[in-house]
Amino acid sequence: MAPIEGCGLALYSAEGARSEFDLTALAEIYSGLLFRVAYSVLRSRAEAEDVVQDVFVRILKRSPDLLTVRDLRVWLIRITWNLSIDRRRRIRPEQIDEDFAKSLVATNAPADEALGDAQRMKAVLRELEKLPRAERLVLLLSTVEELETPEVANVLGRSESAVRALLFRARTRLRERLDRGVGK
Amino acid sequence: MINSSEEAIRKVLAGLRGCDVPLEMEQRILKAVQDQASAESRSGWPWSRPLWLVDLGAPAVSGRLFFGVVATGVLAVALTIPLLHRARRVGDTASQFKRVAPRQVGSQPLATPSLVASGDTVHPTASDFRSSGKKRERAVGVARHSDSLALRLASTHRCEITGVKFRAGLLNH
Repeated sequence: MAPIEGCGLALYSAEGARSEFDLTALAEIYSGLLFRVAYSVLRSRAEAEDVVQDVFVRILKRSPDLLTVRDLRVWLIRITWNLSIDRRRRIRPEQIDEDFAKSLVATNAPADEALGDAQRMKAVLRELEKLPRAERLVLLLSTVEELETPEVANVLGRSESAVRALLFRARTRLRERLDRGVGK
Repeated sequence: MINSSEEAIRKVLAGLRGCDVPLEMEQRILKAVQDQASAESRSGWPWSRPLWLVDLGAPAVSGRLFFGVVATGVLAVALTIPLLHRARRVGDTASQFKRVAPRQVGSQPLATPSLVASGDTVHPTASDFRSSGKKRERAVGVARHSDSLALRLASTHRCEITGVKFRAGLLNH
């Protein structure tokens, strides 16, 4: 990752310069991960980038809290996750999901085949949104590659075994619903 | 061609997983954060700045205390204004009633209102009754022919007339 010059923003704690957070370093380390967390919920690059930006603005505003944070990584993921879910409610997800489904289809496929694949992808996204909330959130957050099960559990405030069970149930339910839909 | 639902699920999840970070995103984010920070430090309002900035600026009052004082002041003003307004309205009504309906004793003739005494018979028009609201408030001090009639009737029947009852009776007629 290229170093960022000319953005030497440092956050100082209320006590002074004893503890210091380098915002540039934070952005270099975490922005990619936070972007993928936001993207897993929003499925739009522009919206995900906006959310990451919001997260860093919040870091700037709440810099005293950073001193008391035990696990900064989980704390940042949780903020990003909550902001993404909040934003998902405000945007129009149908249009975004349609664009996302089209982007997944192979570009060299024949037109009718591509159309069929895009329809299947859209059906998956539609059924994904209809899953029970806990199952849906676990399934979406587990798509972020860098996150292990303990971290997913930590972000969602559940036990690891509960996360595993929810993930299994989510996939099973999604498959069943899609098969039923195909059978009709 | 996607043949099974499992394959479609796998492909969607892989699509979510395999998203690349946009180019120069960090620079854009940091620039936005820097702009935000400089905008907040330019606007000198303590509550729009983070607490640590307020503390570093070393004003005598900390941001939270200042906000508390301002909030209390606003609340006090908000509570006082309606009370003052109500008190003034009560005072106005009482003084107006004194002007309109002086107390009469027994069969003594009422003080004839000026319009009636001068011989001009003023009948209330339909618009007088229709335009009730604001006009009625302002016209309390003007005694009309109908007012004096109503007062005379009331004194004949030895009724105790309060300002509110009198005005209500006038409207009914």
